[in-house]
Amino acid sequence: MAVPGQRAPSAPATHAPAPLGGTARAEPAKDRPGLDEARGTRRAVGAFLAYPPTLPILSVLIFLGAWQLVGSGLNPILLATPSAVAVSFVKIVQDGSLAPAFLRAMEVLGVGFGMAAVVGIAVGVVMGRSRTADRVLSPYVNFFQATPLIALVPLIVIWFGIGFVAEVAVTFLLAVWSIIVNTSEGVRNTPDTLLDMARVYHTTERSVIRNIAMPYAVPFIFAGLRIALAKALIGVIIAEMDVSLAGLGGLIQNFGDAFETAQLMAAIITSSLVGVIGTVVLELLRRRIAPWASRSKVHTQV
Amino acid sequence: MAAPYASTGPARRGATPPAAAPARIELRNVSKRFARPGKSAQPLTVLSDVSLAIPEGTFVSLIGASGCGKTTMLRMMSGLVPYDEGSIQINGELVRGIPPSIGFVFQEPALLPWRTVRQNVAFALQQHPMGRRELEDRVSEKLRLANLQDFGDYYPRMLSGGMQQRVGLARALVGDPDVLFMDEPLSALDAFTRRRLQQDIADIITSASATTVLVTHDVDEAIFFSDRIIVMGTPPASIREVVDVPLPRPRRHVDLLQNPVVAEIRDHVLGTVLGLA
Repeated sequence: MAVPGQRAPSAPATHAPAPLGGTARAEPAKDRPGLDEARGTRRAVGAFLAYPPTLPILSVLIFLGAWQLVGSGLNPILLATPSAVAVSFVKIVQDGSLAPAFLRAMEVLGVGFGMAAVVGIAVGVVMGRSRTADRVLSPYVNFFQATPLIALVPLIVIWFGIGFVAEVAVTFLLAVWSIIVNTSEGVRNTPDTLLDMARVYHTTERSVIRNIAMPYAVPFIFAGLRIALAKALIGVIIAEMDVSLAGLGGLIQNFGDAFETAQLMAAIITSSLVGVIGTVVLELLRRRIAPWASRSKVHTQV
Repeated sequence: MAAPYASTGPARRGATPPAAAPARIELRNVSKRFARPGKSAQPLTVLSDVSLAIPEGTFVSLIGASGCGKTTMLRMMSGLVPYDEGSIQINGELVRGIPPSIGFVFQEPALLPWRTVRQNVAFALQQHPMGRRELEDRVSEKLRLANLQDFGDYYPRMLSGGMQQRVGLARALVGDPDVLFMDEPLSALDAFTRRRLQQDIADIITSASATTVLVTHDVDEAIFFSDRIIVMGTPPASIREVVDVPLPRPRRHVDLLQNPVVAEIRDHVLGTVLGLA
C-alpha cells in the first residue's frame, strides 16, 4: 500500500542523451571561443524568456511603448499617452478627488455584491435541493438572466430615488443571478452516492446542505461569485454614472464630458483596480475556506 | 466548528446507540418495476415475486449476471429504493424508508473529500446523541479494526483505493448496525488488493456480528464470504437457486484453494449463473 504524502524523487528534468557509439559526434572545437559564447548567450536569453512572468511583462511594456509613440502624434483629446495618464493619475490623487470616489465605489460594491452573495447562495441552495422550489423560481431567474438589466435602472430610480440605496440596488440586481444559477447547478450536481450515504445514516436535510451539498458546490459558488463580481462592478459604475453622478462613475462621466481624456483614462484604470482587488479577495477567501476545491473542474454559467 | 457531530435534528427511531443485535431479513413476494422511456412502453419488471429469508447473523451474497436486479434488491432491503409489491421486513418491522440500524458500503468509497478519515467515519454517528469522548472512542475503535489507526487525520485523496474502501467499511460499522449491506465494494480494486481486503473484511465482519448482505458478481468472493449464496436469474429476475456454503467462518483464502467442496460449489454456481445447469 502506498504511503500517502510520499513521492518518488522526481527524475531530473532533462537527460543528456548518451552519444551513440561513444565518439560519433565531434566535440565542440576548443579553438573557437566566440561560438561558445554565442551559444551561452542564446541559452541565457532562452531561460529568461521561459521564466513565466517575462513574456506578460515584456508584452505590456512593448504595448505601452507603442501607445506612447502613437499617442504623441495624436490630438490628446482623442488619445492620452501613458505618461500623460500617469501624470493625471498623480494629479487627481493629489487634489483629493480620486480617493473618496474610489472608496465610495468600493462601498457600493461591497454592500451590493455582499448582499447578492448572501441572497444568491441561499436561493441557489434552495433551488438546488428542492425540485419544487426550482420549478417555482426558475421562470424569474431565467427572465432576469435574459434581460439586459441596465434597462431596469430608470425603474430603480423611480423606486429608490437617487443615491446610495439605488446604486446598491443596481449592483445587487446585476450580480445576484449568476450566483443563484451557479450555486443551484453545483448543489444539484452533488453525487448521488454521497446523498445515498447521507440517507443511510439518517442525516437531516440541514446537515446534508451544510456538510455535503454546500461544500460540494463551493467551486461552483466561487465561479458564480467571480462572474457576479464583474457584473456587480458594471452595476456600480453604471449606477454612479447614470443615477447619482458620484464616486468613480461620476468622475468618469465628468472627465468624459469635459474632454479630459488623460484624467478619464486614469479613472477608468482605477475602476479596473477595484475589480482586481475584488477578484484577489475572492480567491484568497476560496483558498481559506475550501482548499480542496480546484477551480479547473467547474463548468460555469454566465 | 463547535461540536460538529452534536445531534441537532429531532430524535429518530433507533437514535440510541444500539447494542449490535443481528437482524433477520424477510422478503415476501416482492416485485419491482421501473418506468421505461417512451409513451407506450410497458414498465420494465426487474424483480418479480421474490421471497427470501435471511437468518440472524448470517452472511448472504446475491450473485448474478449484470443487470439481473441484485443491486436493486439490495437497495430495496436497505430502504434506499421503494418496492412495488410484497413486503420486506427487518426484525419483523416493515421496511419503509431507511431502517434504524444499518450500515452500507457502496461501490465507490462515497467519502467526503473535505473531511478527514476520522470525520468521515464519525459522519455515520451524527444522529446518535453521545458525548464527544464516546464518539472519539468509537471512531478510534473502528479505525483500529480497519487497520487505519495511523490515518485518522488524512484526507481521503491521500489514501489508496483499498484504504478508502476500508474507511467506508469503518463508517458502515461505527454505529454497530444490525444489518450490513455491501454493494460490490471491491469491484473497483485490482486483484491483489481485492484478495487482501476480502481477508480483512471477513475478519472485521466476524467481530462485528451483523447480518450481512453482499452483492457481487465474483463467484470466488461469494464463496469466500458467505454462509449462503443467492443465485439470481435474468430480468424479470427471481431467485434461481440458493446454495449453502457449509464451511466455518471467517475463512482464509489459503484454506479454500485446494478445498474440493469449494471447487464443487464454484462449478455449480457458475453453471447456474450462466444457465448451463
